Amino acid sequence: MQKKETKDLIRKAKRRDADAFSELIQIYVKDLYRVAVAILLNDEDAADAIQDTILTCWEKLNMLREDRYFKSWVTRILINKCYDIRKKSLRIVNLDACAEPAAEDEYNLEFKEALESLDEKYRSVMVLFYSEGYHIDEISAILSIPESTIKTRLKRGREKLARYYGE
Amino acid sequence: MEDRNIRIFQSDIEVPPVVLEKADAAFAQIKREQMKEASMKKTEKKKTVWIVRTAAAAAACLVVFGGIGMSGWLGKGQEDPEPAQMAEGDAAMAEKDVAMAERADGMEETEAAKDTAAPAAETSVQKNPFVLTAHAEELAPGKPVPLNPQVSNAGQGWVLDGIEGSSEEGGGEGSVSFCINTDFFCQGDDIERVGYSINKGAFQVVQPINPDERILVEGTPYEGELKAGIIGGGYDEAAEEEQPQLYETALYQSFVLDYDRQSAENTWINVCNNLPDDGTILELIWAENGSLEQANEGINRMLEGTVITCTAYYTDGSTASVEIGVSCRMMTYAEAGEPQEEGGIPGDTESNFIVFEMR
Repeated sequence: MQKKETKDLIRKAKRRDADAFSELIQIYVKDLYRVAVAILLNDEDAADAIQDTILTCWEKLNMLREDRYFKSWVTRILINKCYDIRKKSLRIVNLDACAEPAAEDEYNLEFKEALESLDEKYRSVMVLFYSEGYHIDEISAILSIPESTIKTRLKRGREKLARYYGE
Repeated sequence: MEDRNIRIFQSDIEVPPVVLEKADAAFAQIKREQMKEASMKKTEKKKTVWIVRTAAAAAACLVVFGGIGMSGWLGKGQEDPEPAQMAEGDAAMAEKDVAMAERADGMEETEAAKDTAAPAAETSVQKNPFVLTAHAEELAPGKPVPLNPQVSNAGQGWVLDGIEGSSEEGGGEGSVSFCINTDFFCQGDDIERVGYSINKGAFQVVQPINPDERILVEGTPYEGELKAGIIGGGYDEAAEEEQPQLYETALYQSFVLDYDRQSAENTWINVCNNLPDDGTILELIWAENGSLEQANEGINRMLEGTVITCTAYYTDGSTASVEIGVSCRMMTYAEAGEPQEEGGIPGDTESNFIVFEMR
């Protein structure tokens, strides 16, 4: 359930209170980072995606019909931004380079290693379910894919992770 | 799944500096834009449009809101007006503004009024233009916002019905009806409430049975009966088993919402009307092998003259209104902005779309 303080911040942000909006986003920045890095696998791109998301959310905040869905609404916008960045990226991924993270990617290594062991379609579902605590139906709405697919990806994601860690 | 693997996804993480820096850059940009907007509003105050009620002269004042810019001034001692863009229908606007000036009685003088050498007259300053959207698309003059022809599960879209008159001697006339989901949203500063009224037909509000869950704070009921299709509520008339009554449908001539609660997932606000028809409109819309143009004509005959007025009630007691017309236009699915899905309707398919357009 959304805390009263968060609800107040959303209400103020909708009234174009930039400070309230900033405070509101700060509450969720860690969660947004987890989701962004799950899709993009590097902090620089994740930062770009979050920056774009913040600006879009500010612009479109009054389109949010129900304040209690603020977090999933922001997450949905973030995921779309991540997909846009991924499409635009001209970098050729060198698998050897992935074995050791870049200098700027020295944060959260264990988390990133777990993510890198999975295909992208499993990563986003696993993060939304295990890290963010969304229910299956919520993840289905955020990613616009059927609930049955979500369940399958969770199952296969767990299996792949277990194999990676030699279990 | 092993606990260790779960722990990795649930363990605390550190947000890298690059993420925080870029987030801060976004906040700084927002703040800069907000300050720029505030600065522009201050400049606009000097060119503010005044609505002044004078004892002798007619009020030839015009209102600034949305994308329509106008200028007007009255009385001796006030600043000369800046040249401004005149919108169409000035005469109609002036008439409406006289009515607004009448409402200026009893309203407090604003700061802007005090800034100039205003005559000793009651004033009402129009400020803080608002933006109105329909189905998340901004309404503006010359920019029709189309609705999807299909009524989705979300209850959006529109429904047309027609009943043929009886051909028997003494039989009754037929009728046609429409029900169109509105999904309006008003956005602006210092707005306390938002009101809607309609000149033909009624607002059909599908809302929870429980009054505590309803979002309408005031409403003038529609007098009489009006049969039309219903959008919203998820009530399946064709269901075999009895369904719990979760919603009620009420008709209103006008209603008011709190600015902070203009919509709810369990509430649908539609416009509807039922009109007698001698078969002309029925034939245009539903004739076998009828053309899109004929259907377009039929639908527009049904909608003709339907105007919705949206009024913003500001915290200082002032108001601002816009009018929205409802009509039918032929366009392709791509022109209407419909998403192009695989296996869906091709974008170059032409159809009739109900459109809202600010007047």
